[in-house]
Amino acid sequence: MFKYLFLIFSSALLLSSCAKDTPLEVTPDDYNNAVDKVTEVIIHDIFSPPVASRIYAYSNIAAYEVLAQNHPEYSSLAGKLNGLGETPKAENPAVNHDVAALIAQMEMAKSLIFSEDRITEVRDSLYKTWEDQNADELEASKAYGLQVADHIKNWMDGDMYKQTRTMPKFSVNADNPSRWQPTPPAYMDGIEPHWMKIRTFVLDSASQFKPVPPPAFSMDEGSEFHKQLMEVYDVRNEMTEKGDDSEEAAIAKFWDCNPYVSTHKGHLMFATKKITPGGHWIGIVKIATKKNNADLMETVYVYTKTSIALFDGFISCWDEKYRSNLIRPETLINQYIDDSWTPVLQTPPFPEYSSGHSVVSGAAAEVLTEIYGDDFQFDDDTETAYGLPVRSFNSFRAASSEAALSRLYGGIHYRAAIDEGLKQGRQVGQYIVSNLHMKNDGEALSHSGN
Amino acid sequence: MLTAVEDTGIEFSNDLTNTTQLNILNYLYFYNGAGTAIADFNNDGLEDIYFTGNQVSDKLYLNQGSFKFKDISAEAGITNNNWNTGVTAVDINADGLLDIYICTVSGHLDLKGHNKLYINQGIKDGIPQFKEESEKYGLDYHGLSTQAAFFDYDLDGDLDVYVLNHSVHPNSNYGRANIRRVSDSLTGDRLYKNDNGYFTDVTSSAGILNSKIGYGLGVSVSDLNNDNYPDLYIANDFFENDYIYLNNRDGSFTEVNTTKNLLGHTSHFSMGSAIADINNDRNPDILSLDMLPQNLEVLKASGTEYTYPIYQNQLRNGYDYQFMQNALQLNLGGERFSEIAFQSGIAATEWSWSPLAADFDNDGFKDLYIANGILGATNDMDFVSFISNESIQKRLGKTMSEAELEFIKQLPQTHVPNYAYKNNGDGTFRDVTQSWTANSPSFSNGASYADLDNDGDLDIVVNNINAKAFILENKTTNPGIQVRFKGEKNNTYGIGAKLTAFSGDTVQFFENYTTTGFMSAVPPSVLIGLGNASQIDSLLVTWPSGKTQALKNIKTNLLVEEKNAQENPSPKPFEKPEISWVQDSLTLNFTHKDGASIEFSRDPLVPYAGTNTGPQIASTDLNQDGLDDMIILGAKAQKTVLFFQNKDGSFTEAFLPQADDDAINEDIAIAIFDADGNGTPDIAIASGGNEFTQGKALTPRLYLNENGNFTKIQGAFRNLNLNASTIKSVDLDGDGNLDLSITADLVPHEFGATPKQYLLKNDGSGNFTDITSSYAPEFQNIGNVKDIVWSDLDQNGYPDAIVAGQWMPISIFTNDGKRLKPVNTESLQNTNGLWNSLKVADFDKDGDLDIVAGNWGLNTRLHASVQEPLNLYRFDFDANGKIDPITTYFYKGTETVLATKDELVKQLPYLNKKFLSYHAFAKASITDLFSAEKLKKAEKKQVFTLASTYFENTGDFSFKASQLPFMAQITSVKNIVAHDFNEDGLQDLLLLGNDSEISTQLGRLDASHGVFLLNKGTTFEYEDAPNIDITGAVRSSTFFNLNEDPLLILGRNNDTPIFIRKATVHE
Repeated sequence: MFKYLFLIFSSALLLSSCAKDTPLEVTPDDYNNAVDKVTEVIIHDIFSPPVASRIYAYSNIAAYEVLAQNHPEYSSLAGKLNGLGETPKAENPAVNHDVAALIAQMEMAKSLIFSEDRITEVRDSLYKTWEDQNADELEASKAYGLQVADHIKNWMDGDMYKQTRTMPKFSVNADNPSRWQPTPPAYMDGIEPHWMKIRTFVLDSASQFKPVPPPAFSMDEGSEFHKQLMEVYDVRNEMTEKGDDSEEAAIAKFWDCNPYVSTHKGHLMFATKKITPGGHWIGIVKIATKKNNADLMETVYVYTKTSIALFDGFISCWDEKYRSNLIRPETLINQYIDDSWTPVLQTPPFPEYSSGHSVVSGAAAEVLTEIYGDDFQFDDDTETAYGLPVRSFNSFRAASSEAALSRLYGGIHYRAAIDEGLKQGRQVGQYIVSNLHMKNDGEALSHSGN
Repeated sequence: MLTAVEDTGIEFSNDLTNTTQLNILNYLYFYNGAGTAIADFNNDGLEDIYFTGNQVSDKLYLNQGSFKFKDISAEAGITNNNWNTGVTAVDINADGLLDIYICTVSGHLDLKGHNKLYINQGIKDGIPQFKEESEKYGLDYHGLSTQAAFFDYDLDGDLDVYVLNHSVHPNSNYGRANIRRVSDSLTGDRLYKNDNGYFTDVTSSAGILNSKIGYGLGVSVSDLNNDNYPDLYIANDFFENDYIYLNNRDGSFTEVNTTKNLLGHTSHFSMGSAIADINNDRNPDILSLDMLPQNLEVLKASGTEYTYPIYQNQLRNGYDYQFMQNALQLNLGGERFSEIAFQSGIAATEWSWSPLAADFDNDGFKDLYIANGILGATNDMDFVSFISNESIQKRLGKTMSEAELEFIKQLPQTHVPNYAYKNNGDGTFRDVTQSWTANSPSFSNGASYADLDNDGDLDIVVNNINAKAFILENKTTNPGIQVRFKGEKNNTYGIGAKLTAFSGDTVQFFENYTTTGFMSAVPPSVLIGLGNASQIDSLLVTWPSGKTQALKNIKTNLLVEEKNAQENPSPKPFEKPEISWVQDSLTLNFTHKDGASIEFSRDPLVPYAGTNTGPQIASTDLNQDGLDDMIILGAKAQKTVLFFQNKDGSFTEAFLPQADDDAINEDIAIAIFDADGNGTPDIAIASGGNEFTQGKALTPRLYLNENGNFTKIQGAFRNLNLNASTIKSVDLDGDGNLDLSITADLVPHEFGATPKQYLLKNDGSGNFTDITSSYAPEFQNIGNVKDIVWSDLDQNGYPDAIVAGQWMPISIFTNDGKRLKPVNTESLQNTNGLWNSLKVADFDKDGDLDIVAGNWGLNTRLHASVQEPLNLYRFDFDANGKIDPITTYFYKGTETVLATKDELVKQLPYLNKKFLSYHAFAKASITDLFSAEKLKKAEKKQVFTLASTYFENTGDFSFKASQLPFMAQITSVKNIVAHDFNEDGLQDLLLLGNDSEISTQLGRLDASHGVFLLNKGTTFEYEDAPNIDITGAVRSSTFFNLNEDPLLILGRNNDTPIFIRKATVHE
């Protein structure tokens, strides 16, 4: 009875202002812009690749959970992602799920990054526009979007992120010749040594797709390890001969995806910042969904599933990194071969095996291939904002293979970390493909490409 | 007092412009500036000034008196357009006319030229005439030269030269330090020997390092070890060590900082250096400058030292301890140095180039003038992390060179006033920048001093980038006397002569070397401040030849001439040192192996680790054969070892039963006492080390002794788990059985948490019962106890407890045989310290017991008082189930967090939400960061004093606290020996300590070489013990008789024990 009265009351309100109200609309590009904003803030705030993957994942999941309530062909992730409970449904019929989804995404992003004002500025300008168009719809949608965001935050709170902040650092012990050491020029601590303790989304455990161990450490000539070390050294030298315009150099730079490259010139220090490996694949999602003229639901679905693969990929990879704790080629080459050798790319601050970019590229490519097929040509302009050219690929898997190989050309990984990393990532991706069903009629989407 | 004179006629300005060919991005020392040399080039009695220029030509200004100068560069034949750096005046050809040596940067990019030697051809119409003749002399070195120092290293009567060079080797990768042994042709220093006027490169035969990691920015000459042969200090930038070369007196040098760790630590990014006797003890002290900001906001927004674990890695690569701070290496005589810059108050002077160490106020103590500033080079972390990237992004698409030049314009600058410090005469300096100088900002590099107006005080000349050089007139009113030199042979200006001036009860010491500070040189003369005295009572001159002369009652300027000096004066009378103790050569087969601490990996926010507290060494006759035996406690995974003394003075090693099983325990404390009343010494050992959180490794052990055979009593303390600091036997209740106190200093892995203390009652047969909660409930939770002494303070027949620890006051408990009760004594109320050690004795011989307590010391950035304490807040600030220990200190009146932003936000990421910018973080107050509400909820511990202190018992549990002398505060005192070292019937002190396991933001506590304090009845006075050098981290001491001879054994963490003893009669 009370509810009924309330409805009448609301309807009366609606009627009174309905003259100027127009239904609110959220386009796929609105969502793309919101995700781009997250990428921009991730770069600004300098989040490491694993942490960045967590920001993308939870913010996209929140949006997806809102939209899925309104799209019967999609199902909620509740019960499908570890620990995620039933998402509250919108009770107020005035809720616009598209608007609520974007609000939920922004709210999650805001809570996960540091520079909140960079998100709230965009959000508030959207609020302003929406408020002018339809204040009631906005109010209802906002309430619901924030409600779902809260639900996601409560779930997220149990993922061990907080606890891992105060766990011990990686202990540097240079007496063990195979053990990872901090690398020039910033000599940073090993990043996220406890990331394997973060709760996975779909994987049973961080170690579910534990790769074979790297070749046994040995500086004996002829040993597999030594051969692979020398390959890194030789490839770099060949590239120096070929010059900056070589295909290898182009590949290395295109896939650098290092969020913080530190430069020390005498007493002058500065840093150049780029997107993370995960951020690059988020960029590919945008390219693919746009190419497929995806609607908002489809767009958010692809973002979400890809970011789930990236997230579990990083956990799987980091599990191995701090198991094998393998030393980087730069350290060994400086120590044993050439003290002034530098890799083409800056060595990122964590153990070598397996290659993070290989794992997460492999995982993301599997999910995208499932959705859009193995025959999906795209022009990747994700890196143009950083002064890099466009590169074209005939499939997601081809892109992921090149991303993996870039680590060898970059001088930051041995061959095994790339090959095994890609394998590991594809296993993660395929596991998600087989176990995480988000669409009721099968995951593949017809695509208009090629 | 140091007033800038404006219209002097000096227009020189070292103007710099970045070009696409040469700029800060392709020449890392583009902003290092240039130097100045002051000397009388035309012998008219007025000091002239030479400036070097980088992109501008050098200038020579003739002093026309009354601070009027005339540019005579062209007339004098000074024409050059190279990138010039250092300059020094020298009479290279011994014709009585000063020549000029210029260092030049060449061979990098388009920079051309070579070092230049302008020979003074004579004076024409008052103008000296110069001709460049470097090639003729073999001194036309081309490379990356910084500065030269002329000195007679082989004492053959002519001047040789050390040419200091820098490097453009990329500094982004520190690599392996053994590269320093590989010579490099372009960079790397050079030593040239003067062979009858031609200079021969003797670099390698003389043992001089000249590698591409020699980033040489400072060179100073001095006879550091007082053997009359000049030694060298080389200040290297970046990761490379600074070098000390001791003269081998055979034409070669030995670098002893790197090879023998002569210095505990040095400045890290060393720039200019100076050597002068700062404390008037006639030993020259070394000052080298760095870039530590003094401004708190700048400091907190700047890049900092690597964290402890990463720092260890740099050490493993072969580099020594270096920290971003100015370093003042106090010369203790001979070859022992104590770095005291923090305690002296001069550690942080921003981006600093030139140290001028001279007596500017003529009060008899050498003051400091520090030239600093940099046009554009930065470790501002907001620039590094945020601003630079946006700037680079904006310029994408432009040509590289355009983009670079625009980027360079964005670099932050350090545009700050040069500092002036007055020497207080007590080892400390006072910042007098405001009162002595105009306090105006500049980019200053080279600087020099001389009496420009012949009024008996030192004026200052400073070479600035993009601004006119400073000419500062000294207006002090104290008188000074100038001494000039006339040497024999080819050293006409007596370079290397030493002066010792006595007036009243002060003594001052000088050496006549010209190269000083940064790229600069002073004239070959010395100005001696008289203070309140009207004359120099006596002046002792020692020439490099070894000849000496003594002059009396000097009231006016004078010229001292070597020809009047005496050959081989009477050898120094043998002075028996006040403390005649010496090092003993005894060695034991034991090296304590504690390893590097992992506590900073576990908990990066802690100011110091609790892991490195051993080894304790105990001594007694264990096997009852009449000879003292020793027992040394092992670190984690190291067995505790017994050393049984044999009649011939050798030792037989033995282990306690089940030693292999118990090796895992880090044994920390030992009590040797008769536990079972059978008349033989039994052993109780307690463990700690902050490694294990619980279990057997933290359970004390008891060994009963039956005729020299030890039996381990299983489960003797089975219920006990504690991280022990001490274990002491004491008969608490007067029943004749020795009970035990076991103290704990920490709860493992929980910095600052309060552990439980224990009292255990002995039933007489060696069975122990925990009686703490009934006998001493207040004692149980007293704090982080580091030391306890049981002594009958109130003379009621029962031993009372004096307790010291960290974050707690010196505490006293009285014992009446039934209860141990805290004494609430007002005089000890605010004595919260970081106490480590106690010694209780009747020091003033008034019949009661006094206390000496060893604290953290005053030689770090930390200071504490009741008004401005160190605070420790323990709270789970981010609600993640783990307590975050936040340590704060007061800096110039502001409470600030000790941990760096980078470390703090890794633990508490939420801080980045509000304070992502380093400057925002730097400006935030403690309550901004942690909220007043949470800070209130936090467990709070405080420290009100860091000084090691003497507490004189004034009766009735009242104590009069007095801070021990300056030298007692240079390090943390971990152990105290009370002994009558000078045999005057009073108990003297030997303070022992040092600590490497502190946060790298606090540096390293390494200044002590063993500090002896003589008991003067009511006070203690520092006394040097010239024949003792106790290096390293001493943790324990015990007397021990080797046959009949008493030795003092000192246990050192991560090192071997060492031994000292009283000198025998013939020593």
